[in-house]
Amino acid sequence: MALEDLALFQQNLNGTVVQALATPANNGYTVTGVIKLVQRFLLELLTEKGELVYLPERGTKFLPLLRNGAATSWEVNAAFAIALLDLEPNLLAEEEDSDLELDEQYQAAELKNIQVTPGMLTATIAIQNKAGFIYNVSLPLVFRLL
Amino acid sequence: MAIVVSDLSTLDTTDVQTQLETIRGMLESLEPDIDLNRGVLHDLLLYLSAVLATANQTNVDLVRQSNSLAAIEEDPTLADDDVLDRLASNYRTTRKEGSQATGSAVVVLTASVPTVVPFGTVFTSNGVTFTTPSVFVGRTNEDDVITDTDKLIQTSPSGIISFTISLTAEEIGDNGNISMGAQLTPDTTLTNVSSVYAAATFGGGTDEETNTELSARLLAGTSAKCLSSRSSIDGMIRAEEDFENILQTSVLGFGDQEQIRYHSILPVAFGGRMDLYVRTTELWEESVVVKTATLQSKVGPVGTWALTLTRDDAPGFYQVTKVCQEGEGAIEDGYAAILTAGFSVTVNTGEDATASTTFIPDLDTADEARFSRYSTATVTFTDTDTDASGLTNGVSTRDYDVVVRKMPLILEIQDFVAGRDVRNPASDCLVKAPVPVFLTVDITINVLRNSTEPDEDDVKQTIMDYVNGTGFTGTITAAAVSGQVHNVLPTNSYVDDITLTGSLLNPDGTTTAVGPSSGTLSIVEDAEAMISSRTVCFFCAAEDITVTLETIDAP
Repeated sequence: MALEDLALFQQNLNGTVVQALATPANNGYTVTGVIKLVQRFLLELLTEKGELVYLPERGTKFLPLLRNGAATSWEVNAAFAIALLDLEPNLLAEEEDSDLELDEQYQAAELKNIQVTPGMLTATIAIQNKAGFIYNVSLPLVFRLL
Repeated sequence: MAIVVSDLSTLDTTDVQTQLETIRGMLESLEPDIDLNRGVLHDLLLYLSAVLATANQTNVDLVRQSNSLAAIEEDPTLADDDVLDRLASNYRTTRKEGSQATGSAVVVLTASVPTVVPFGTVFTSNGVTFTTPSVFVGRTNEDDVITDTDKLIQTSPSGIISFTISLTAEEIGDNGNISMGAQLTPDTTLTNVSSVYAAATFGGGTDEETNTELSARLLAGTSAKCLSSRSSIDGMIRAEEDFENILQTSVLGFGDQEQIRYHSILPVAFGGRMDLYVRTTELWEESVVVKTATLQSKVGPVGTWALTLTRDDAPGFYQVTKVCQEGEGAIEDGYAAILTAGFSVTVNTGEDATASTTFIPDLDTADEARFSRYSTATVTFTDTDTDASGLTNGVSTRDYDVVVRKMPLILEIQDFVAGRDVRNPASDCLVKAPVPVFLTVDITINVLRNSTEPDEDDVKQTIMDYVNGTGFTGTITAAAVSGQVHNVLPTNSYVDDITLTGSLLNPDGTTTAVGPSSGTLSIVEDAEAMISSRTVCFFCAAEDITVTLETIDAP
């Protein structure tokens, strides 16, 4: 039986996605299956390593590397590859000794495409589960000078 | 309150992770359909709940420790002031709030005319402030001395005009217990007053009791108050209101080499003898005793005199520091007679016309009685200030101020432990002041050029507090003194060198040099002479500390 998790991303009426547990339009959703896996992947990728004080191994250096001046697609690729070194062991450790369905278990991930525009980076990531299904997720990251 | 966790980032990581597992297990039993092993619920709900739960548990543990005397003894910093006060109240004990020092001061005048020292006049000595509790008026005529605040102006044989006033420290603390002769500077100009000095060591000043001291008192307080074991003897004495501020005790009896009062033809220790060494104050007390001396001999106009310190003049005395013309004992620049090298000490257990009616310990020799209330002394000195030409040897007498250095409360504690309701039926008890090592400290502090210089008074007070708080010990180290001093040094200054030099006053009246040393200063123990780490205490006064500041340049 698939266990449910809270949905971290909500889709707006205009089709955009926002990071929220609930919106004015709904009280939130639960997720299972490959969507839950994708959510776990993004949560781990976008958590800065060390931010969870008492779970020091969690998270990656992806956002700090981007913030420190990854201006080219090559640099973004490198940051993603470095992040996977932390991310994959964490995801696999969470699945160890568990009874997750195959479609919720992580197999591999690949950075398929990068679009860098002033102030914004859109990364398309392909996430594959152990059932063999590949889910493409488009991740827009907006950077602003404060 | 110190026991409340105020920063969630300082928790123990293992504790948080353990709490996380515990909460996960409980929630999984409650809600088996939700994923608590990973994802949003794990990171947002479980993790944060575990952090808060750990903070709560840590607070509970701290409160529990604060309620435990054993835990407080191991780590007094854990004890919150309020919690420890409530714990102490369970044993009908309250924290000592500290007290203000009081004492008498000599006001030296420029002329013998009525002089007023107003109420509330502030005097300062070594950074400590004192005030007059009332107005004082120096009167030239005895008939004009009517109230307690009227003081008769007296003129000493050498022409020093003075009268005495009372002073009270403005703040609580033992730094108000200034030494005899300490100069007091008024904050306003006083008409006709040339200088003011402490007439005797000020006393009664105590600091607010720290958590360490309160918990130690609680532990002592739970012991039986009787003359049996060492802890119970200590607790018994501290339970008396007059003695509650004593610092340390050391009991030597059956089985201790330092116990030598076995007066028998058989060279064996048969018990029944107890020596109770008590350090009642951090520093000795100096006071003036007016004694009548008798001319012994003379060479031309210079006479050699002798006087006797009875056992009641200065019980537990250490030494006579000077003999002065009457009325000038406290005056720093007053005349001081020339003391002969050493002075003879005898024992008097009371076999005289005013024999004591209290139980008297078994005493045979002057050495055994030394530093107790049963010690007497004959002081011989040469007075070069008085013309003895027309005086008669063995007949002529003259009064002198004798400045005596002693440990206070020795008489009072001796009378207390000798009381029939208190004393141990199987043993006597002889109360003694500690065998003293008078310590001088020379300290050099390097200060980076253009940096804030250390406050020399703070440095001296820190050294005094440390040395005088070491208790019964035969060793003191320069490293420990240096460590204490560094706590009060400003940035860019450090201790470069410390030299410790001691003078041990032996029970037989001789002195032994100890050191000098820039490392470890240790006495040479001689238990059969009653000199050991169980009988010896170090003493250090401000005037025995030399602070040298040296400016250095950055490398």
